[in-house]
Amino acid sequence: MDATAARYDEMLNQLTREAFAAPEVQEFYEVRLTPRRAQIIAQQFGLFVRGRRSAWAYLIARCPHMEVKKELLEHETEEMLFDPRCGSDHYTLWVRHGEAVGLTADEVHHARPLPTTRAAIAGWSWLAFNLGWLEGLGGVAVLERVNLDPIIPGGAHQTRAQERWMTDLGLSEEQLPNFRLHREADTDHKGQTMDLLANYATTEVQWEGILDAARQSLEFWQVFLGGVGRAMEAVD
Amino acid sequence: MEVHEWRKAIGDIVREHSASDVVTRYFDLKQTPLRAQVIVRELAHFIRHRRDCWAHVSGNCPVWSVKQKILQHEYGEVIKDEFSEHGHITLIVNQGKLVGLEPEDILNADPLPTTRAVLYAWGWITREKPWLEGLAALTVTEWCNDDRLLGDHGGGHSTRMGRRWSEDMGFKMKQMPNFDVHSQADEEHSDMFLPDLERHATGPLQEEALRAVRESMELMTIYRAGVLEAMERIPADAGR
Repeated sequence: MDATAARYDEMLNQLTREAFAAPEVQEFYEVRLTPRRAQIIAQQFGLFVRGRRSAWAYLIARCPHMEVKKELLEHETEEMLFDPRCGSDHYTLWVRHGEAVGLTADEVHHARPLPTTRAAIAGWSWLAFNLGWLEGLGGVAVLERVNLDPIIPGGAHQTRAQERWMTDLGLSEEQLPNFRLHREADTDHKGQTMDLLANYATTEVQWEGILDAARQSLEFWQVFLGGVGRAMEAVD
Repeated sequence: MEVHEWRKAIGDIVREHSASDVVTRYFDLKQTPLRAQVIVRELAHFIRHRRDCWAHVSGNCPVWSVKQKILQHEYGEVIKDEFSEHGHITLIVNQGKLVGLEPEDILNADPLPTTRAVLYAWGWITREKPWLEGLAALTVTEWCNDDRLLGDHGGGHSTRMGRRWSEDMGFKMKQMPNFDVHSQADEEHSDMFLPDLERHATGPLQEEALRAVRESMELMTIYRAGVLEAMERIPADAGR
């Protein structure tokens, strides 16, 4: 990675850290979990995982480089078909989390999105569908950074969420496979997508476009988490 | 319509296309290396552009199982499947060597205007129209390679052109990996989305999906006509 890419890599890390400081994100991690509240998380995160696939598909469609399409298809294969790290696709892991807190698979499959979930998913698809493919990729992929412990003081999303599920609900790490998986998978994915950005972003204008898309994407993340947090606070 | 009715309805449209004047002339034209190069270059554009189109349909489609199926389809086309370790584009690149084309001659060639126009049209259908119409428009093009459907027409298009290349240029089918693989892989692909059409293309959506199938075959006719005219402009003895 050259100096310019390294500089923007760190700026993307900083944007991600700032997202963790947003009030709605902090509140999400502070809500004490109950089985009913955890059910809301399982359902909305199941929708999140499925909903984000359209954004990635649009990136595959719009990117003109076959080698990039290939990498994105491999990324999506892990998400949707089979990831050897967990022995299933990633959505199935949220079904298992739902089952751990009393939901049936059907209740996860047919969950209704919160308006905020729907809006955030539409936002990510919009970025991928309407921006240049490179800026869209930068925006959609920045969310992989919210799972990176090394860049987030106090632990990244999966670590913080796992702690709540284990402490508040008494569940074991084995019952909650999603958290460990995403710590590992997104460390790999972040490296892969950053390599793609570094290979194809050749001007400051492109990097600024990537930063702007990432900023929007992290705002959608705040909208998504804020909605889930408020829905949890409204029950029990 | 049930699966067997969809099979019949789409099959009839494909058979009509296959028996058309343009397609008949396309397969009747004597093949030479220079004419075959036109087929290879345009087919490489067609194959690569399918990747954009399938991804658009996946992006627009809200049905998880259909998205998964499209990804399986694309994994085989782009990454590897039982027919190719490196994706299907390598099949046409390898086949191009037979008729004197280097990989860069294929991958850097400009498309014919007709090819460019129909690819834009398929792109528009799959990006802008409802996902079910995009799916119907894409899946039908793979039916053109179905030997089961087109046996009495001389076979699917890969088999038929493979035979032409054999008769006119002396190649064996196994030497032509793109034709060899697509005569098999696309039979599997033909069947792949029929249950989804049965399930989702109901009521008024049924006719819209069928219209997309017909429009797609019209685009295929324009594509073939463009390739045919480009080949006809090359004298049979050119390059000897």
